[in-house]
Amino acid sequence: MKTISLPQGTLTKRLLCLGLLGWMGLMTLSYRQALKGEEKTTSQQSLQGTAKTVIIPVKGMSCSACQANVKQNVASLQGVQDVTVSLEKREAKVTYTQGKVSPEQLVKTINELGYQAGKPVEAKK
Amino acid sequence: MTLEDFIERFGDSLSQGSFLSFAVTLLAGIVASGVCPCTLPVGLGMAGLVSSSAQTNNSRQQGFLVATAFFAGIVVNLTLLGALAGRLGAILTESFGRYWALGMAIISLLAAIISFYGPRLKEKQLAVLRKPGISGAFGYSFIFSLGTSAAPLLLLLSVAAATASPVYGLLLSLTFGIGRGLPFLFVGLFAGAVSRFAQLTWFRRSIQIMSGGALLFVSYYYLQTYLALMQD
Repeated sequence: MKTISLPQGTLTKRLLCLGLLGWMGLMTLSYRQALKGEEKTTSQQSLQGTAKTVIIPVKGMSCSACQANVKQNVASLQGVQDVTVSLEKREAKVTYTQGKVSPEQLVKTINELGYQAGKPVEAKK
Repeated sequence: MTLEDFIERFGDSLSQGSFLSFAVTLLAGIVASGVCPCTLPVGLGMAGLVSSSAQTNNSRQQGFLVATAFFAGIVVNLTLLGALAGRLGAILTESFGRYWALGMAIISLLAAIISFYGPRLKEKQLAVLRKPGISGAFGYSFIFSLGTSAAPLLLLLSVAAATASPVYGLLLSLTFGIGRGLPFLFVGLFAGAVSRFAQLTWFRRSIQIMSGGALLFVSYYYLQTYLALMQD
């Protein structure tokens, strides 16, 4: 049977294995990061008592990757207890510990990602 | 400039149904592709898809057909979304986004495997792959635009809602889809041309490796998105 004229060596197979190994490595790293984030959220929830929730309008999000980007970066700030980002409402709902992080820092973090954060408004209970 | 800024600036013309409103919508599609962070990784992935397809199938037209199929997938998807505008909200939920990102990661990984493994396949197997190469590109872009374009489309349709005409909404969605897909079409055509040029040179091997690498990167990018959205 006629085959394609590319080299028939084992290079492709090795590259494929390397690629898959690399991908699996990155996947493991990502998962560990995700777990770390979860641990952080759990430990910060114990600081509740001075928690405050604000809603920040966010312009410029177009897809779930933007949503994930905002969520991940805001959640990584010290003092942030919970983050929910809505693509439909184009806003982020952030619960944070007062004194550990300020609404201005939340806005600055979002703006630094390339989105436009509006004025934070305290969420109604 | 965000897409919201762009639509706010030209929002008045959108409710008129004039030639200008379609021109603005087409531009909005291009702006949406320009500002969406998914454009770069998926553009790279699509270039990889076209390159590997043009190389493995050894056909001059194959790259063009795959790029066109990818473009058509975006246009058809956005036109359908425009027609089913009421469903846009459901597509914007976090749980949908989560599974969509996982789907993109898996599909991109499979495309990367095919890209790496394709040149080792025998001619008969490649003949089987040739057809899915085109429909695969269509399906890939269809799923891609489902997750990445609903938010800007919803914004556009809400601004244009003053006319309250479903046909107008459909035409706007079609125009937006063409604008959204054009940058990908150009990237695909360019990648196909480069691949054809490289058919007989030592670049061939490098392009094949880069194609697979680009698709692996797209897979990783969406996996990150999935994991970030999973943290609840």
